[in-house]
Order: sequence, then C-alpha cells, then structure tokens
Amino acid sequence: MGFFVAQLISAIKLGSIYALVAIGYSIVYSIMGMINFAHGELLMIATFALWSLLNAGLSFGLAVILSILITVLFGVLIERVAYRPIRKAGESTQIITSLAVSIFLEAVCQAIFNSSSKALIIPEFFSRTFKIYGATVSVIDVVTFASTVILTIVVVLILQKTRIGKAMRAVSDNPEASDLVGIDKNKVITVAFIIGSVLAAFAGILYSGKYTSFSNDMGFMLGVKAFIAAVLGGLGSLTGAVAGGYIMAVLEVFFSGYLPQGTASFQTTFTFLVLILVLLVRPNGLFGSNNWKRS
Amino acid sequence: MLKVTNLSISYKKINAVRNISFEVREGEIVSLIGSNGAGKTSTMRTISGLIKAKSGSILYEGKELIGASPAQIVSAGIVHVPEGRQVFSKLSVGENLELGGYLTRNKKIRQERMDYVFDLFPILKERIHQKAGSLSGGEQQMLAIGRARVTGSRLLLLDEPSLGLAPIIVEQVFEVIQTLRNNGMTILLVEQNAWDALQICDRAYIMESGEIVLSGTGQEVAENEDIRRIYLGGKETWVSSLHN
Repeated sequence: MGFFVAQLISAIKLGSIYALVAIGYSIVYSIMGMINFAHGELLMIATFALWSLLNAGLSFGLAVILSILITVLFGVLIERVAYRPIRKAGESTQIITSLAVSIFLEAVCQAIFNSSSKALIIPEFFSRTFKIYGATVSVIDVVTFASTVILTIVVVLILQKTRIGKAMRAVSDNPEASDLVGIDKNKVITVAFIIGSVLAAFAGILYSGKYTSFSNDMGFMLGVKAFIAAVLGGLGSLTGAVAGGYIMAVLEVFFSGYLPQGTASFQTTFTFLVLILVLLVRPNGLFGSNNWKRS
Repeated sequence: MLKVTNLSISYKKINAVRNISFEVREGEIVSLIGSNGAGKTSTMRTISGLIKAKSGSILYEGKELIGASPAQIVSAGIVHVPEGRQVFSKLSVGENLELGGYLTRNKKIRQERMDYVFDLFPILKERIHQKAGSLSGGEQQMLAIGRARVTGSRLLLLDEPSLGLAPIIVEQVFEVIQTLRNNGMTILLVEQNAWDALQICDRAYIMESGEIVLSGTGQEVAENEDIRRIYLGGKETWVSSLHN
C-alpha cells in the first residue's frame, strides 16, 4: 500500500509539472497553429533566473516573483522577435524556427552559466515532510499540486469570463471572423505567450525546487514530454493538456515502479508505446476534436 | 458614405478586380451582382481590410480606408459578414454576440444592441447558451448578421447571405436585410441570387471578370435585356443553376 501511494504521489507531482507546461503548448497552438518547441526553455529561464537572484541575496519570495516576470519577458520577446515575422510563413518554417530558438537559448545559457549541474536552495519549510498512508510527502509536493490546480482554474476563468479570454477563444475558433469583429490578433497572441510563460515559470521553479539540481538542458526533455502529453490529450484542448500531463506521468512512474527488475530503465519506451497506441486509435488525442485540423 | 474609386486588386497573382468605381449612399441597399469569380468577394474583403488593394481608393465618410487594419475599419463603422456564415462555432450564441461588441467597451450600449438583435431574431435569445456550431444554417446566418449589428457599424457588407439556405429561410434573410435598412443601416450586398437581390436593392452594379459592366437602379438592371438573359434567365434556371 505504502509503495503504491508513494508511486501515486510522485506521479501526481510529475504530472502537475507536465500539465503546466502542456497547457502552454496547447494555448499557443490553438491560437497561432504553431508548435512552440522553445516553450520548454522557459522552464530553464525561470530556474536560472531564480538561482541567480537567490545567489544575489534576494529574499525567496521576491526572487520567485522576479523570476516569473523575467520568464514572461522572455516568452513575449521570443514571440516578438522570432515568431511574429514568420507568422504567415507556413508550418515547417515555424517549427524549425522554434527549434532554433530552443537550441539558441540553451546554448546562451550554457555560455553564461556553463553546463555543470547546479543546486537550487529553497527554504527549509518546503522540504518538510509528512506521511500519507505510509508514503512520504514533502511540502513542495503539495505546493506543486495546489499551484497546478489553482493556475488551471485561473486559466479557465480567464478564457471563459474575461474579454481577452473570449477573444482568445474566438481567434482560435475562427481567425478571420475575429478580424472582422475587430479583435487585435497581436494582442491575443501576446497574452497567450504571457499565460504560457507564467505557467512554465511555475513549472520550472517547482520542478527544480523538488529535484533541487538542474542544468541548462533541463527544459528540453521536460518540454518534449509535456508536448507529447499535450498531443496525447489533444493539442489545443485545455482539458486534454491537463489530462495528458497526468496520464503521461502515471505511465512513466508506474512503469518504472512496477516493471520487473532490470527492465525498469525501459519505462520511457513503455510509456511512449502506450502513447503510440492511443494515437493510433485517436489521432487527434483523447480530447481533441476531429474538426480541429487547421488549414 | 462609401466611395470606391479605380480600385484594383490582385489576389494570388491574378488580377481579381480591375479599376472599378462605385459608391454606396447613406440608407441605401446596393447590390454587387455577378457570376462566380467576377471579383465581388475580393472587393468586399478589400473594403473590410482582409486583403490589400493593389491601387485605387476607398473612402468612407471622407476617410481613406486603404492601408487600415480590419479592426480600424470596424471601429470606423463598417462591418463585413463574409460568405459561409463565419460564426465562432465552439462559442455560445451569447458569446458570439458579445464579441460583436468587442470594440464597444460600454457594457450598456453593447447590451442595448444585443437586445435589438434578440428582438430581430427571437430564436437567438432562446439559444443564447447553445454553441453556435449547433445552430442550423439559417440560424447561423442570423447570428452572423446579429453579431455584425452589435458592432454598432452603420455600413454592413453582406456576402452571399442566402448561400446554401432553404428558399423559405432565404426569404427571411431578405426580409431582415430590409428591416435593418429601415432601421438606419446601409447595406452593400453581394449576391448570386440576382433576382432576389434586385428586388430589394436601390441600386445595383453588375460585375464581370473583375470589372463593373453595368449599373443602375434595381429595376433598371432587372429590366436590362442582357442581364435578363445572362443572370436572370427565368427564376427556375437560376435556382437550378445554384445546385450545380
């Protein structure tokens, strides 16, 4: 029982990270029709920003807020500088550009901070532990899950209730009709990147806070996995992104925990095998609609 | 109100529209009539800023619209309902109408306009929480027109509002167009359904391969021998040609 609960808890916290990042992929995709492969690097930016600010002696709370703002600044800047000029250039150009941005950011980070792995020292409070059904849970695990729930609810409320949120859904639904009611697409896209960046910043900080060591390549693998989670759930669907994130984490954690001795290192193989099977049956993902295909 | 002078449009490297001039006066219903590919839709899309003109001028109440963004054109007071009933299909009917008022920050004014639309199309009020994509074709057309009305624009560009609708619904659409005009809207109407369009319009322009070949009052055009032969040719043939 204790082992199962422990596995479940680690799946939930990993799934929370995936979900936060997957939502970012999904929102940008649903509005621009492009896959922003540089999205994962925002986790790296948030983490390195926090690490630098803490080293500079700032208080933890202030450093967290500033690093979120820095991440948002980068997210918006990436869109302005790299994506806006190629918005009408076609899918392959966009994908290649976003990969280039990803590699560029990672390399710049390496040039500045070198590639050694670093440790993030978070306040002792977050690493306090308690037991649930014999499994050890730390405060940051709870914070990770709670942040994901709260942020997801906030994103849903923004999309459903606010003027800009409705405009975002309108652009995603019918770009031309949204032009014709006077919606400013640039503004909508900028807001999409702001939301994605905030979520990515949280994900980066919570991830590095939990695992305490990180390096400049942290964003890539996390980003790829979160992207796959978003595809699994159905790109463009918010529910899909969250569900995809948790399903992905459950598969990964449980394969690694329950596969026979010696095969546990194949957890990723088995995880992706399941994903391939799901996509064979539902090519648009679990929550993707068939009419989603963009022209 | 709207004055188009020597407008030329290249679309996908084809000269879709060559040197056309026409005008729409306040309170009129003006029809642009012509066969497929005559350049009617390109003209509408250029007025609303969706595509760029190659040369020429589009003056709206004396202001040049060439180079303005779609949003600027909506705020200037022109709204375009494109062909194919472009509603936000995954959003509710209420949200669709609300988005018509996207540029209208004043909630009260927006609500008044929405109430006007609900008076005009009571069915939309019944379906306010339904997804727009679940409406019938005719209802979606009503919603598209209603949403355009909520923008508060005074000039409505209507592109093929009758396309793909059942005859009885087409009749309703044409009634609505007249009601809107009687309530102060000016309308530029593109129609393949030349017969009905000529019945309700004040003036009409006939387009052929990117040029305006004839203009006059609705009645004059309807009585023109060539037009009768080419476009009207008896209502039966017209209707059956729609199904090809």
